Amino acid sequence: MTADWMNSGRIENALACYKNCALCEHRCRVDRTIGDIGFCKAGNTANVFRHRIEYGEELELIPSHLFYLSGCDLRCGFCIAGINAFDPSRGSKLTSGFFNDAVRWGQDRGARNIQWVGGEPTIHLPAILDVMSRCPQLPPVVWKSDFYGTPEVFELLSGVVDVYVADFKFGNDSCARRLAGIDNYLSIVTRNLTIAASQSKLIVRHLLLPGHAECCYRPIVHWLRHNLPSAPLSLRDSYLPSWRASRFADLAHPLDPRDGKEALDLANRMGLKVIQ
Amino acid sequence: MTKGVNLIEDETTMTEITIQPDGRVYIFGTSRQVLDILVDLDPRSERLRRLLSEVKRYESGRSNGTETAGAAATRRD
Repeated sequence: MTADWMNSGRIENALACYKNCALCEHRCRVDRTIGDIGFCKAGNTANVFRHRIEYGEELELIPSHLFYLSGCDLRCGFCIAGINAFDPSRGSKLTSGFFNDAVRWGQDRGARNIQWVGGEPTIHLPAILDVMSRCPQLPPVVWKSDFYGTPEVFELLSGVVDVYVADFKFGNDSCARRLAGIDNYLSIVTRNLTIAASQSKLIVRHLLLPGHAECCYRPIVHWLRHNLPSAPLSLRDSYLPSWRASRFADLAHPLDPRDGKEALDLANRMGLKVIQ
Repeated sequence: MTKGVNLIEDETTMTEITIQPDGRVYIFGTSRQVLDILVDLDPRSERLRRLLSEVKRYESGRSNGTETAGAAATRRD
């Protein structure tokens, strides 16, 4: 059966986004079809640098078939994907042939869904929609994102995504600017969380950063409590310094285990639904 | 395996394990096999037991034909 979104001209509209790119809130407005590049440096080809079936994620998702796309609209100094996230030429071209074969391969091995991860899939949304529209038996779709996309992106994703997994990284604009190189973070991410929650199931992930309990974690918990109290919060206490984290004094060491415990206590006190 | 899937190596069986000097173990990318091993190594871990239990429940459903790939918890209804 063909989903409604495949017949609505959505693919054409999405592919047109490459010509005047405003997929993320950098809104570079470059024409990616002729080689112009913006903040993310991506052209109009999405590249897969890894795919795997993952058994260690949230219970609601496993076993999940993850497709990792290179390129990102953020520049997090502690990114675990490192150069694969920031160089969109890494990996092999996402084609319909590869994707269909890979989906079948994953289903044969028990994958319950497919999950788009990165880097950041948002910057490749047109290519992703294109291959999914050509997939004869598309599994449920999980969209794991930094949520720095534009409302236009969420309009294109409406009815396509079964579960959003939002990486709510920072609780204020100052930390987002310093650690990820982006502006207006909080208003953009919270706007998108509200949109996503109105469309589909939403899981909010937060990786606890050392020394960021008060400036980032606590504001996030408070925002969730007041705005999306029923959204599951997937709390991650597994921070390890990666990529260029050593350049930031606060991020150059692992999380103190006591911080993880205190974070969990706070979320529970606030009445949030914490999942693992 | 088809040509398309061969194009990009799958890393399903790979798991990265980091052990910190204080003894904490960090796991990135959990394979099915590693999940079994971890539960054996740390049977008191509630999180690991829940993960394995969920995977087994799903696998059991698939083999009985009561749950197909692509259904279950990611369904929106």
